[in-house]
Amino acid sequence: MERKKDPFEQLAQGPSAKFENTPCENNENQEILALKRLIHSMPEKEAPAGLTESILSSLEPKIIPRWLLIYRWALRPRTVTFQPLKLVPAAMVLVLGLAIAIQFGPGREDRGGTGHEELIPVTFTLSYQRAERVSVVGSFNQWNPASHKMHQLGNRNTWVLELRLPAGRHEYAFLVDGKVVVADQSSPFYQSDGFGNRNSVLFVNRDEPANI
Amino acid sequence: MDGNDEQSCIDRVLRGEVNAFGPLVERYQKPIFNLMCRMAGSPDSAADLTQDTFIRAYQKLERFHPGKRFFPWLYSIGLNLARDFARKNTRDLKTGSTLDPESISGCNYPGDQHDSMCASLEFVRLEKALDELPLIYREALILRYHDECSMRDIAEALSLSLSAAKMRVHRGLEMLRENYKGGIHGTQKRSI
Repeated sequence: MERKKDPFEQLAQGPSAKFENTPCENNENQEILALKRLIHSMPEKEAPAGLTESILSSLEPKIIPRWLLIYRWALRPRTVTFQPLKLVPAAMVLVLGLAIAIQFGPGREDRGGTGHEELIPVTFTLSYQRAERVSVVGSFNQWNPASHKMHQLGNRNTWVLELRLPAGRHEYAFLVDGKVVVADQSSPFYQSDGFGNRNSVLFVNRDEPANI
Repeated sequence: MDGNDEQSCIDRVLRGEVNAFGPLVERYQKPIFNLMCRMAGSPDSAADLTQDTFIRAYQKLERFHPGKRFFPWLYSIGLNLARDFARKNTRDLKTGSTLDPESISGCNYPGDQHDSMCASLEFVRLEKALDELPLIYREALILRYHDECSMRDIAEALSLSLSAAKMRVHRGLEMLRENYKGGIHGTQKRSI
């Protein structure tokens, strides 16, 4: 008597399928494999003719805010490819650009000493009777009498001005009433200005503020 | 049509080109229509639900996440619509055969006529066995082994976690084997 053929045996040899078993599924038995193949070759119904036209005819054009389009554009993943050989010149250009930026960039003035480097408070004091106005002129303000005007204290003979100067050597003098140049008598250092006057010399130290 | 083409179509639709939606409809109308046939039964209802699915997808297209696959997202919309349809109609969902005699007779199977008939009968038997599975298990199997979706896509289409999708496929195969072995025992009400 002939044995009735198991349906799974037929299916395992049945309609060939392009479906490939995944590695983790390799140990599954023939029955399961046969079912997978059968599902894969299961015929489908065709969608009704004219369905696409019917759908498209019922749609209105979309009006999407521009910000949403930009947001979606930014959300989209992208693939970046590169060749290692091209990385070398790119890295060289980057290094060169950085070097130029460091050498000539806006931060250089700060490091040079005239910009926003650390400033030390310095107080200038002058005792002078019957003065109407007194200014401090010096190398730190290009000898401009209008830039640093001193203030009178209560006794009206004492003039004071507090400045913040970078560390280093500075020459200065007091200009009384816009015409009389007075050297600072308290300064131990002087420098001739080449016109018969003496400028006081100030050495500003980073460690402590100066009172002149 | 690959993912980039799909994304290009979606971008054009969002810029106001309605006709750019056409290639997406052409590409996916068949699997969605077959899903609806399994869910709704009559071809007319399935066609209506297919149309509703694409229209709903069009309306929500700006919510589609760029870079993801379009089909699982579309499938999840279709599945939700089909579930709503089933709830509203409170009908027995056992009528959704995609293998009517007409479609079987139209199949062009290799081999002689006897083999072709056997294959057709096997498909009918398979469909009955699939039909007895809970919806999520059945759709997981069809997405995996018929539509060749990745587990990640299945998880997204069925609104499951990745591990839950793997479990549904694995368990669904076991249940299908039991149903298939047991033959056709009459209809059972499917759980949605």
